[in-house]
Amino acid sequence: MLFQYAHALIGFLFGMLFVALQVFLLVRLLAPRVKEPMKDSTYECGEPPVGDAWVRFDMRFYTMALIFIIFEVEAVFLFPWATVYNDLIAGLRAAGTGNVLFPFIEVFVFILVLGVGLIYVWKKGDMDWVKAMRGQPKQSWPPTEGSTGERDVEKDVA
Amino acid sequence: MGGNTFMDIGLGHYLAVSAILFALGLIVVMTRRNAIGILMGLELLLNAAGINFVAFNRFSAPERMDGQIFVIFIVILAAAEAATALALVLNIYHQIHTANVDEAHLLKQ
Amino acid sequence: MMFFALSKQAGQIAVTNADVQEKFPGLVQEITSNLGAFLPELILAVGVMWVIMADLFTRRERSRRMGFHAFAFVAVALVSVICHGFSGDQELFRGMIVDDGFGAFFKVLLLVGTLICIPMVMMTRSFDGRRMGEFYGLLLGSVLGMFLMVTAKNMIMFFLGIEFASYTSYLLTGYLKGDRRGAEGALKYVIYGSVASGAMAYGLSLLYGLTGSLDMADVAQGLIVSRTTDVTVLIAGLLCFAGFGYKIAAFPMHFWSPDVYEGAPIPFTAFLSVISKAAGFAVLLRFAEGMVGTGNWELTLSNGDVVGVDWPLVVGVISALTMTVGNFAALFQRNLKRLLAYSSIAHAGYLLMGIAALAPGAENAIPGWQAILFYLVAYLFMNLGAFLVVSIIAEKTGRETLDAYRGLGSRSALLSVALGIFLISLIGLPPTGGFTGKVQLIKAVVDDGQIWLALVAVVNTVVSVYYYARIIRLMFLEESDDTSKVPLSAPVSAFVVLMIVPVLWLGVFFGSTVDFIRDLTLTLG
Repeated sequence: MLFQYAHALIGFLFGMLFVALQVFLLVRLLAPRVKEPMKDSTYECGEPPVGDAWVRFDMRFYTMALIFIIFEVEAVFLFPWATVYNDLIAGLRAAGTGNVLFPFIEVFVFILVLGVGLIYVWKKGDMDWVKAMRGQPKQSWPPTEGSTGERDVEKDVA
Repeated sequence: MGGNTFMDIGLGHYLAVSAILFALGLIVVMTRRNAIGILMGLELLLNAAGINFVAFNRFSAPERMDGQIFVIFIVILAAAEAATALALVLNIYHQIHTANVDEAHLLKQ
Repeated sequence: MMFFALSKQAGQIAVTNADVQEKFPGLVQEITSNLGAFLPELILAVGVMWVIMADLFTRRERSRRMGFHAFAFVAVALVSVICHGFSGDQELFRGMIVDDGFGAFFKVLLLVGTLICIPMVMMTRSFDGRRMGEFYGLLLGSVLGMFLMVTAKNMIMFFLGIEFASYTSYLLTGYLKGDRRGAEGALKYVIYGSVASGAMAYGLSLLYGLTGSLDMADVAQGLIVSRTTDVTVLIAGLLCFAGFGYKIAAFPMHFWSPDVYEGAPIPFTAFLSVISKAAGFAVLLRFAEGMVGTGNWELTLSNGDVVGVDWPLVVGVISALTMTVGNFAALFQRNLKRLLAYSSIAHAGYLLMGIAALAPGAENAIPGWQAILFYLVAYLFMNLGAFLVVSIIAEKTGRETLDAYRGLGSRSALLSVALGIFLISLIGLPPTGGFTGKVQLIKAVVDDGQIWLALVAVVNTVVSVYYYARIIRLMFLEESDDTSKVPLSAPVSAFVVLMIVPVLWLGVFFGSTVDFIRDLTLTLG
């Protein structure tokens, strides 16, 4: 039992050893060492970095990602259902009782509830990359002259 | 199972992993001051419970799928929790311009 | 997926296709026939979606009207619960939830509380000009989650319910965007709450491992078998208690509650302090009652050896600590909302006495859970009433501090008398529901032989007189610079009077309620 996997273990150990050797030993031996201030700069190529390394992401990514993850995770529930769907139908047919559409209706209700969420998000304008301001026409993207394309996050969410 | 104790992964191994994960999650929650960091620790707590459920389902009660179903729900709840908590962190970030929980001290402790 | 792949033979995966085909038709019939008993939950679920959807297609200025829609849905759900009756005694959906008198009682309690909170929300001016559909949607969702909590028999259902109720509560606490206190309260709430639920999930997984089942009755039964692993049982129990304890704000898990109560909008603070707490107690009771029912609660054997974990003692100590911490912290509060927050921690402590006294001892003893149910009814009216007055005063004067109540007796007789009655009831003096409720709790503990706990409760009551009576003194014995009358409209006055009536009723004619509670059924399998 143990020796079945021995070659994998040996390969694993060898790989680790190789990486360790390369990182710690070979580099030490081969890499040239030059001490000058330019070596400490961010890109080491004469291009001075501008601004903060902490990039502020647009709020829209956050909203989109949130909507995505909620709907994506809900799909997990569909997998167990889809796996046995044919059996469910066959079982109902064989028994001759109850509505054959029952498994379908059950999941349809589930999707319907998700659909309410989708309508909500849609109507609130969170699906649009450029959200319409209250009382103003929707802006186009990319921003045309005079508009910044920025959207007021506090706007309609109350 | 049985026989060789080194290569056969048993219930104890899973429990050990989940216990370590739970402990790590608790440490993260207690030491992190950034709200986002704390949320990451929370995910570890939930996932530790998830590993336990799957492992127990497999080794202690394989005749029903209870444990695996619970894990599906834990995954969903973790996503919902992240969405809720991030929205609230964002809300406070707008007002005090930091996600550091120690800065939120307007309400006296 | 790795875990699934680990089952080496296909036969080890429990459900085979033939199984599915054979069992499913019966399941369909069961689900369909159970839907009738599930009607209140369905009404609330439709209500959540309706309120949110209707608000999307309503103009902002009319958004306040969503309160009426939500009120209507809650009222219809209440009617359907009452029509269904309190004598149910069956499992629904393959033991996921139960339909019993205990659950129906709590459903009525939750819905009545919500019916009181919704008009309070509609009276609150800080919600003006905001979209309110989401607020009511989340509120109804929270109640729906609590419904699942109070009827859950399977731990999946119970965990889902507790989380559903929690997430909506986090969002409602921080609902006033731009209000920094609300935002901070919500942040603290979500962090403490999530840690507690993470710990509880881990505790539940240990219970599952110990007993091999997620059914509460099976778990309680299974714990007897595994008494040899006492330390694991204690750890699992304490981790689970972290979840319950945070929901009811019991001692080591109470830190969030003053900040959240102070930061949240007043009507929602009222909701949290009463309704959320009642649901937490329902779950705790059902969980503990399961262990009592299987004899896993009293662990002293006839020869005096203590086997396993002495749960009555553990709960008793937590109860004593909770009421002491709550009362002593309340002594020094200047903000009435915060004071009531600490006082509600103390009340959680009193209620926990009932759980410590769960095992009925002497003949004619009041079992702890009946005392808890009665006290929760009284607590619902007295605490919501107190918050109603606080909310009205905050609307009129813009202040929540104690100074706003100086000389209130001469400014508004109705409000000051009402608040006086609610506070007397919170102290636990006759002739109010708080008195009869507390007497029952203390009697239950004394009957169970835990005299020390009863003494702690009495001493705590004496301490609590100090801070409650200070408010009454401020209202009636001190003069205020501002002597203008507080104007009250007729509906608001009627609302206040409606809250006083049950508090006094429960103090004088408590017999019918006690009898009603005694006849409730508790199904655990």
